[in-house]
Amino acid sequence: MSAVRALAALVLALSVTLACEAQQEPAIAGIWLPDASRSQRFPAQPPYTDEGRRVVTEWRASHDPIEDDPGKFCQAPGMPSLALGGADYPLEIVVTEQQITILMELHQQIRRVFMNQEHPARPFPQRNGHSVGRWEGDTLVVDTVGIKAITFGSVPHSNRVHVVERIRAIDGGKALLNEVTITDPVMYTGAVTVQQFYRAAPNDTRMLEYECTEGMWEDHEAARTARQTGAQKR
Amino acid sequence: MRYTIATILAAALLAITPIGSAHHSPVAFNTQVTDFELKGVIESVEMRNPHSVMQLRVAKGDGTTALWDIEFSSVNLLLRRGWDFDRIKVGDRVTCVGNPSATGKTEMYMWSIVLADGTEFAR
Repeated sequence: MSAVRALAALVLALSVTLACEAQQEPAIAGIWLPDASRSQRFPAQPPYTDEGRRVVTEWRASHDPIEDDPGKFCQAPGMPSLALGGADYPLEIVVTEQQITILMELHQQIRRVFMNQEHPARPFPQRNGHSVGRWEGDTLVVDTVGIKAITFGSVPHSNRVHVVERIRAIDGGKALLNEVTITDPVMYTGAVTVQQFYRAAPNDTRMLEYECTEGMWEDHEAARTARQTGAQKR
Repeated sequence: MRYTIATILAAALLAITPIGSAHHSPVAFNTQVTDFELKGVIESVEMRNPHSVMQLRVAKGDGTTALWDIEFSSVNLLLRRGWDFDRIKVGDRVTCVGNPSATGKTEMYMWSIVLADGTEFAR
């Protein structure tokens, strides 16, 4: 009988432990949908430096907005643009002690936030940069550098752009706020802070894959068919 | 027999105009006009990212027809908005509503589709 009691006590202790761990999961974990009704946008006329204005003007003058639209070629703009919404596509935040992973459905972009670490001295520039994070209470502070320069997208930037995000759950866990501060001494004369809101996705929301290049492959296949048919006729 | 089966098949494939990698910037469409309406028969339809595409055979006033390229939202968003893809098939007669081309092409951006039985899927 004592063995049964001991087993019951063990099960109870384990249950309590698991329950506590479940409660301790940070409130930012889960699937979130952009809330455009509350969110701010990056200003249409940001405080460009002379160099920033020159770069953007030159790019716009040399690219037809229809024929040369980067979206037509499935170009994901990366950071900082992807911290600013993501159209109507959800994102999923997965929290572990060592790493916080942000999975963006749009363009299947992945951000890895390495917790309690320093940036490498010379991070190789990538579209989403190099992110490190730390907790300040319930707020996740993410610091990102090493972002590859991109002239298109909602936030044209140089590879010296620096992004600080302060992410926390609000409204009793029904919403998420990310205060995004962008500085780029090459492109902008001062910091720009933009508030992005998200709402908790319904419980049955599932992240989907996002393959973007099927249409481009179809174009290639049509060209291949034409090429091979022409070769046969000759 | 000068033509091989492969040649004939390739020629048949070429006869079908490919839908192509339709993803146009919003500036390709006149977004000031939201009630542009087009009725026709679906010749091809692909639900995909970044935008879905459809070709619609539309009757012209002179007795001939024209093939229109219809662009609409991504497969991911349409799924979440409850579109039933099994009900949008080649050969179906439908009405497409949305923005016309900004440059006068036989293209439009569709925000809603009305099926023959009156069912409407929107956005």
